[in-house]
This record gives sequence, structure tokens and C-alpha cells, in this order.
Amino acid sequence: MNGGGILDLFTFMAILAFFSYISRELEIRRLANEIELYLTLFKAARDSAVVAAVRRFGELVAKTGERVNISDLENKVKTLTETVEILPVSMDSFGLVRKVKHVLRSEDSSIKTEIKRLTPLADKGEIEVIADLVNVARGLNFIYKYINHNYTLAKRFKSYWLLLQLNALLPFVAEEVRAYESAVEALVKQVPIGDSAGPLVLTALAKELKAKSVSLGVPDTYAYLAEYNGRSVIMIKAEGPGSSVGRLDEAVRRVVTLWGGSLALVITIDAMVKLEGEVTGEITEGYGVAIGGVGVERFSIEEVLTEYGLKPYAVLVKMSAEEALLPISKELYSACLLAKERVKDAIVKFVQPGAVALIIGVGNTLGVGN
Amino acid sequence: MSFEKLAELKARWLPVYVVLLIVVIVIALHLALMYFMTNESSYANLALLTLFAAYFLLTGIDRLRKMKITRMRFMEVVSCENCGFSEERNHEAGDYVLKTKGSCPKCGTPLIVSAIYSIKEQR
Repeated sequence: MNGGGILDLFTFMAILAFFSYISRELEIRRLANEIELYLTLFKAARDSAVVAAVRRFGELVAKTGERVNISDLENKVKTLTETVEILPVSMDSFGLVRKVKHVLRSEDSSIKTEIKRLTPLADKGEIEVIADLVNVARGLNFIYKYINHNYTLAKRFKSYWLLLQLNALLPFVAEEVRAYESAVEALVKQVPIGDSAGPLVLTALAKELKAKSVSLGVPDTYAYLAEYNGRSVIMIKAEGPGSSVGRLDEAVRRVVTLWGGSLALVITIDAMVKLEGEVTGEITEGYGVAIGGVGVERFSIEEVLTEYGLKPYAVLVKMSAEEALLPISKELYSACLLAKERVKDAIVKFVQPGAVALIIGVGNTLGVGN
Repeated sequence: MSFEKLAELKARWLPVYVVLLIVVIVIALHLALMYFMTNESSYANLALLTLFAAYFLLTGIDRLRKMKITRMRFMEVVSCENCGFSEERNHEAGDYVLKTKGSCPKCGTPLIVSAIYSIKEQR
């Protein structure tokens, strides 16, 4: 046997192993570079949200005539963006919804109180906008930190698979970040977002029916009363044009207490997340209470409707999760007008003349007045 | 915003990629020419390798070219409830749906902002 042949084989195998190692190292480097680029973009998005909140804060502080200390404001906004929400323990689920609602309401009111303390001359709408700007900055801060945490871990352990998984997820996360960024723009300019579809449909309907406003005594919530083809229509939405989702569950309970016996139908109008391949702006109808979020308000409304035996109906405007945060597009606005017609059809179809229908415009009422 | 960061990256890297691509194509052509003149297979191998590099650069340029930066323009529709007059305008800060804004040029009734929406613009 020729010894040179074995040496050639070993050399060939060594070169093969070397190239296989190099190719893996290069792939890790490529993945790391891509993730770093995404992280740079996420950080820029987070910083721009903080800057927008600080600028808005500064404008409102300047109204009071006080000297604006930008670095001081920036520190306060950064402290707010670092706050976390700790949801109640769910091991014993009894009374969990009530506890979650309490935590969320406390968080919301604490942030707004802190903003009010810093900007005493700001009105309700302006405080809501700053609170939401802070919330968007919080969301972006969490995304940046979470991705950075995973990236640092993967890099520390040189884990190819962790990097690969992270890299595969990042385009989807980037879509979410872009939607958040656009939400910042919408908040600063106070224009309606996709999630405002419910309040937009409701105001268009109220305007068309020449509805009169009624007081329910529920904070952050606005109500109208109108007549339509011999039926009474009560409409509720969050109080605009600030960034608010209102207290719809409390308003529904109030309406049921006041009109209980004659109520025949409860229609919720909301944005619905479409599936890929579905068309944005498609209107769909359904049975049940359509309210997103953690589920606290939906639970409370379902409780009331079940207690009083009221029929829940929903009119939904389909859009992607990103479009729900983006400033509303022209096609979605046209869809809102179509949804309004569907609501009118549902009232005629399901409510007898003389009976009452309750219409709820669910969603953020940013840029939608009363 | 991250859009600005993307635009900055695109502006920085696109010329670099284009210059590199031109250089690599010139080298590939030169090597191919040398192969035809000398008939040495090593020139053909090198030309092939250079063409691979050109393909890599071309995909890079394509990726940068496809990186669209979307901007949004905000519009609003003001309408008159009395005579039906309606007009699409650029959105002004502080305006919101149902806000009373100016008076109708036809009948003098107060105009109402009836819609606000965004239009996407790509560059």
C-alpha cells in the first residue's frame, strides 16, 4: 500500500473539515450581522419614540411658563418606559379578571397622574396622547431589550441554532416595530389608527342619524341616543379625540340598568385581525362580543349580556395586526362606511320597531371626536 | 425613526456595491479574454469564480434596491352637512373627525372634518 495515498486522504479530510468549520463560522457571522442590523433599527425606533414623548412633554410643560429641562424630562420618560406590569397570580383563577382589571386600571391611572403632575395645564386628550406615547416607547423598549437579550445569549454560547431561530423571527418583529413607529406618528399628529375603526363607524352612524348625546356618568366614555326606522339606538364609544378606549363594560352595565327591559340587541363594532391572503377592509359579521385586549372588558360585557339574556352581535372590519396600529388608510376608511351600512341592516333585521339596540364602537378613539 | 436609518444604510452601501460590481465584471471579462487568447484553463476557472462574486454583489444590490422606504401623507375630508359640499385637503395638526373647521364656500354653514386617512408614498 502506498503511504502517500493515506496522507492524501488525511489531507483531503482535514481540508474538508476546515472548510466545513469555516462555512459554519461564516454563517454565524452572517446571521449575527443581520441581527445586529435589526437591533440597530429597533434601537433607533425606541429612541425616536422616547424623543417624541419628550418633545410632546416639553411642549406641554412650556405652556405652564416653566423653564423646560429636556434632560430631566428625558430621564422621567425613560423611567416611565422602564416600568413593568405584574399581572396577578393565576394559580387560583377565582376572581382573576377583577384582579387583572384592577392592576391595569391602577397602572393606567398612575401613569396619567404622573403626567398630569408634570404638566398641570395639559387637558385630558393631551395626557392620554402622552400616556400612549410612553406606552409605545415601553413596547419598543421591551422588544429591543428582549431581542438583544436573546442575541447576546446566542452569541455568548456561539449557538448557531439560537441565532438561526432569532434571525427567522426578526422580519415579523420588524413589521410590528414599524407599526409601533407609525403609531408614534399617528399619536403625535392625533390621526385615527386602524383600531379606531369602531369609533369611526359609530360617529359616522351618529352623525347620519343626527343623534343626541346622553350622559351615562361613566368616565372616558361618550354615549348617543337616536331613532332609526322606529327603533331606538343607543351608541357608546370612548370619549375622543384623545387616545382612549373608554370604559365600555361599565357603560354597557349602565345602559342595561337604564334600558334593560326594552334592549333587544347589542352590536359591537371592532377591528379584526385578518388572515394572510384575506383582503384588508373586508367586513364580516359574527355572534358574540368583539373586544380585543387582555379580555377583561369582554368578560364583563359577556357577564352582563348573559345575565340579562341579550343577543350579542358583531360587525368586524378586517385588517392586519400592523394596520391596526398604523394611521387608518383610505381603503379602511371606506370599509368603515360599509360597516356602518351593515350595522343599520342588522338593526332592521334583528330589532323589532319600538325596541332598543345598543351599538358599541370598540377601539381607540384617537383623532375621532364626539 | 428606523426608516431614516434604513435610508442612510441604503445611501451608504448602494454606491459601494455598484462600484465593486463594475470592477468584478471588468476583471471577469479580462480573465475570459485571457482564456480565449492563451487557452489556459486556470483563466477560465478564475473567470468563473469572479462571476460568482459578481452574482453575490448583484443580489446585494437587488436587496438594497427592494428596500422601500414608505412615508405617509395625511389627508382629511371636510364636508358641509347643509349643501353636501365636500373637499379633500392636507391634514392640519390638531384636526380630528367631527371637528368644526371654517365655513362652507357655497352656503356659509360650518364645515365638519368628516374623515382623516393616510396615503402611502414609497421612495
